[in-house]
Amino acid sequence: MTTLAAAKPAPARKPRHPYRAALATARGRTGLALVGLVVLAGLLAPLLAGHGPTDQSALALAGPGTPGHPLGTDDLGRDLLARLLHGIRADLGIIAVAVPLGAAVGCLLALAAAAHPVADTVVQRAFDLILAFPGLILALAVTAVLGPGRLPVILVIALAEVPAFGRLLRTGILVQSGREYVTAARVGGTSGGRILTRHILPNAADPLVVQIAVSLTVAVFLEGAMSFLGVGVRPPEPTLGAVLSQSMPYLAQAPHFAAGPLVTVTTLVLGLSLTAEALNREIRR
Amino acid sequence: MTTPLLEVQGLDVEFTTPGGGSLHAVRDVSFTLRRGETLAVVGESGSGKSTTALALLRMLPGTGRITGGSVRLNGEELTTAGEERLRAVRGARIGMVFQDPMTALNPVLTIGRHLDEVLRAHGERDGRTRRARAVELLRLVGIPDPERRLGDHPHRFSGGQRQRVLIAMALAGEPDVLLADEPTTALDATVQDQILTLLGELTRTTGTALVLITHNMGVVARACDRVLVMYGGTVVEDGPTADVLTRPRHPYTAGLLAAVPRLSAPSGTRLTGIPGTPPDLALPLTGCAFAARCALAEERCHTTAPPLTAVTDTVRAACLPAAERGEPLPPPPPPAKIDRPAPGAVVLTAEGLRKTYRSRGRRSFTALDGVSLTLAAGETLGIVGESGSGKSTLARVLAHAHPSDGGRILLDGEDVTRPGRKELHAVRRRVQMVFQDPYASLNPRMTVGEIVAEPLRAFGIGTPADRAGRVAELLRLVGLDPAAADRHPRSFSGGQRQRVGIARALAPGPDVLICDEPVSALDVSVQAQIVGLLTDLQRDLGLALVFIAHDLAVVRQVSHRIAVMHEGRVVETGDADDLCEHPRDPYTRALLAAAPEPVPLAAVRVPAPAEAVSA
Repeated sequence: MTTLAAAKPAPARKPRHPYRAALATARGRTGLALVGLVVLAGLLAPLLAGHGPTDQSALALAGPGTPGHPLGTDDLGRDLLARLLHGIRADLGIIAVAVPLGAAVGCLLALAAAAHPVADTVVQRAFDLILAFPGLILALAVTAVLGPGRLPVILVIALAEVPAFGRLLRTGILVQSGREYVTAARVGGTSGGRILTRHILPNAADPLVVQIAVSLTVAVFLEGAMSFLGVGVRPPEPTLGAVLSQSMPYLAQAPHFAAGPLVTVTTLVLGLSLTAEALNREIRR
Repeated sequence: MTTPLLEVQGLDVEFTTPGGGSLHAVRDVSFTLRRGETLAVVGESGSGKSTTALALLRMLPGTGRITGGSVRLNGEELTTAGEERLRAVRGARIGMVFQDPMTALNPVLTIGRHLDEVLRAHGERDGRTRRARAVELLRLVGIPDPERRLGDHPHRFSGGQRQRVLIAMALAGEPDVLLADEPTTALDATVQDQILTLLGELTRTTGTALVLITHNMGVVARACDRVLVMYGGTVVEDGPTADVLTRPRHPYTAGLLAAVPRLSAPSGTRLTGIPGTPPDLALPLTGCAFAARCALAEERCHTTAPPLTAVTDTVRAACLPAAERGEPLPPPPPPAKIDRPAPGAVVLTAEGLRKTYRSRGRRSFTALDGVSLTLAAGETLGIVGESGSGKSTLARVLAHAHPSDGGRILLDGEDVTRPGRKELHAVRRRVQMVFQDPYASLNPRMTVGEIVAEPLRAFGIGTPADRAGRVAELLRLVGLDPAAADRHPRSFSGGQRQRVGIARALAPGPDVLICDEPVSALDVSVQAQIVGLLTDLQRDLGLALVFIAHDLAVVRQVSHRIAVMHEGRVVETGDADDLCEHPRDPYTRALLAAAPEPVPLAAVRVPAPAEAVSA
């Protein structure tokens, strides 16, 4: 009956936080680098662009490499690089507000659902209702009421993400509250609130981190699709979807017009997906 | 003598750890298996026994790979065979039976379909022949009325019957070898007995060789001719069961045998254990794997890896001193009596407790049906019963984790059955609980220090500043280094985690400690440490213990009094020694008879295994 612990020498490497370990993998690094590239471009837009996004010049549909316009100009003679960079900025501004908003509302509803059976039924049916509408139908319905603009886009994205976060956290809470260590905490006299915040939530939160990365991807698509359909941010303010939409009639004669937003969206989505996948693999272990 | 059926030479298996290191799970394992022989591979968790079995069929999970050695089946090399060839060997030449019969059958397929698919995979084309063969197989494994039962789904079979069906499936291809990985671990003692008898009969009637992987010495004694003892990925001893179990050569075998609780050991004696913890397989091994825990270790044991050498004609042992000694190790001294104070006044009384679980649309299930018991200060009340007898529900009701539906619970004569918020808090401070699963009962996100401090916080004991000191004191009390407080549960072994669980339960200074199967998830060599700790704590702190277990032998040694539970009722209660020696209830008698003892009774009843080997 002697002391057992600490007999073994501590392992050479200190165990890192699993999230940091996940992001240090090749997959995680690539994902972060791609996302970082796009985010940096958006943040530095005013410095890099050289023109205002709505400044017009005499050159319409100039090709890439035109002096003063590295990516060329659009049909109205506006600099494409400036429009692309400011478009990224606008996009990031929207999803950076919308996704956390959706996550927060979803989590609050999940907590309410876990607290009371009646609230659970109400919340679950509300989620069903939202999920019954495909994202774009929801977008059209919201803009039909509020009109196009930045706020409706944020609302649509947030609304579309609420059930994903809500369901995930509700399941997590239900699974964790059945675990033996929760019973142990209860028998140990720990109060209900503390059991929730200290025991259940930290263990239920892992999938949410992955979901944020996934939701950001969906948000990029949703914003692009809304602007493309003309129910998003009001022109002439550029967004990635708006630039893409504008380029459609000229696809045959000026393909470089559409290339900028397409490449950017692809990079962003690829980067976010890789990050989500890296986190997910680490958490499942 | 003919060539052996299965010959394993110098088998090495490695796994890659998430950190990129390698874990040497099986090191240089060699053994042979003859036609019709029954071989037990025995060892504790992490000894590499299951990995060895899976490596034979190249079915290693995850990153596992064979890094050396050979496996020959009838002279055919399996470690380098192609996937096509292995498919032909699996099932047809080597059949496998797994541990958990509850999850190994597909719930949406009938038993008939299960057997039909296996038979089809073995090339039986005619449907009618397959059906006839399926009926024959079910009859062989002792399922009554097989024609009718073919159409039933798995949920209509009991755990023991499901294991029989799985054995039938493994036998469908008429294999030469049947590999059974802990086939009875998930089953109750009485059912375990039936399955072992069945396996023994099958090997005799069909001539199939059996490799039985188990951690239970009693199972070895009951079912196998020959035994291979594994420790830390190496074979430490190999020989006829009768010889190895009665005259062990390797100190680990001797220690393991001494650690198995015997039903004959009287109440109030100390369980024998093996000090220390099993080796870390990620570290390189120099010398004997067991040297760090061995009382007889010499200088060379730590530096030279002992080869498996023949000690007698039939027994081989991997121990340098044992090879020279030539004599078996002396039997362990009889268990020492513990001086324990006589129980005091009654603290906890339960009268007619009832608990019914209702589920929508289904029949309700009565887990507790009028259970009454008393518990005195400084007394240990053992509660035994098989799975589903309601013993865990009783623990939870007594600890106020679940409310009872009827009856009364008295604490020091005060009714605390349905306490208010405030009284509940007071009751919990006095009644604490130790849980069965040391892995699930600790929050993985908190450090050990935070876990142990949690009840101190909850009951407002001490200021935050002196809690750290109290935590260190508690950790020392349960035999852990106070430095453990900063680490997370995942860096501890099962036995150490259970100590953390005990420290947490002791934190508020309770009078009653309810232990729900505190040792059933632990290895036998570690079990004794935890039981000893609980006994010492009881003596020093005057705790009243409720000790719940399914192993009657442990319960007898630990308890003053025993209550036997069956289907939610207490069928018999009495003094521990008296109840074990003069059981009155037929159910108690059945439990006592089914408890497997690590004494090779088979050696007396059937022809001696030594003869069977040389035949």
